[in-house]
Amino acid sequence: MTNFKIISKMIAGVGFSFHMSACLNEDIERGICDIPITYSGFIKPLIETKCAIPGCHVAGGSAPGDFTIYGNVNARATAIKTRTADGSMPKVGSITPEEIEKIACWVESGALNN
Amino acid sequence: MPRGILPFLLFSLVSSAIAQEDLLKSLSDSQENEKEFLFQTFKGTRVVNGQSVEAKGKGELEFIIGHRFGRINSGPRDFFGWDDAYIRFGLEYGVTSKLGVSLGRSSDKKMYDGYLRYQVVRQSKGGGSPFTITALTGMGIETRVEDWPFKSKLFYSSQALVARKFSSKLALQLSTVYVHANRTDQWREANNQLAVGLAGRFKFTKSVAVNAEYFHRTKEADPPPITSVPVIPYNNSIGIGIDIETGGHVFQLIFSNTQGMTERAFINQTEGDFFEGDIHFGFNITRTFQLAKGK
Repeated sequence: MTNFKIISKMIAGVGFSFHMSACLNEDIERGICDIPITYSGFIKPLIETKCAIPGCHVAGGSAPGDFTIYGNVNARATAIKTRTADGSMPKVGSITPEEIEKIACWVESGALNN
Repeated sequence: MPRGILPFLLFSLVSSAIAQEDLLKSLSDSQENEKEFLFQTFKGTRVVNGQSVEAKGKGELEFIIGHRFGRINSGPRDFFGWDDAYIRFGLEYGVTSKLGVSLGRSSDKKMYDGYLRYQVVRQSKGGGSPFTITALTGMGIETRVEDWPFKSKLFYSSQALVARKFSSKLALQLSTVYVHANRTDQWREANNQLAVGLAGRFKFTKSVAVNAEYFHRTKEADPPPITSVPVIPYNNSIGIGIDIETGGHVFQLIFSNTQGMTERAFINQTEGDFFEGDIHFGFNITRTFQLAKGK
């Protein structure tokens, strides 16, 4: 019975060690598109700082479309996704890969005025 | 509750109970002659999905095959759940009449599981305990997502079960189950979950009994940061079983809103709403072999 007691304590000890040493509280990895990208919360502020700047996508600017108006952004949504993804836009300044991915998520989910 | 404190308490309970077995045995040997232990509070080691207070006898090996089909209300295309079955094979060995060790493999998330069972005290007549109390502690690994780190695949469970056989027909059990999963979809499943379970058995004939169980989770998952994200919450687990004893086998026919057969699956990840008809049919088939000389 002595051996049994030792073995039992070893089993309990190993299990306890696993419990204490290997406890994590992780969340699953999520894609950028798992959280909906909204026009008002993300796209509009981004466009106003990157695209609808003086001389570019504004009324009287050299670039086509006044992007201060949602309807114009929606009409060119697919082009916005393509041109930001291939790096040809914006011509002034830069945007991050995460911002490019969020634009794509918003366009693919319907380019809604949400 | 600090992380891991409940597993610590239960491990302490199991290990200290084991360590004191000799002492308790010597103290109680003289009294046991006058006690009459009650057998078969439940017919098997499972009530429906959850564990029962029953322990295997010394040297006994239990082989349990569990099947859970898809939802009955999934329609004729899946033949009412037939095409979407999970299976679990499990072995539990009675090291002593109180201590059991088990290993299992489930097709649900390609899961391996193992646990230790310790029957702390058994209900008896003649001045003994009015309850049977059993503690279990276990761990498992989900291997479905291959590129997760090893630690992220692990989960643990600790349980304390208290049951009383009120008559030859009626038995009730109260369960507390703690489940820790290292990685979860935190919008749907809390990493640390404490559930309280109530189970019962009513024996209709010598070989047929009906079991029922319910587990209530005490913690809700954290909602996503944006409320418009559609999240389908998990439900509390409900199960009804019919035990049929045929010779050396025990068949348990099961109707439940959960499809999993490990604690993490049926406590934390029950998809179906029982009262919406999301019911899975299934069964457990149990066979016990006597491998070593019993006590």
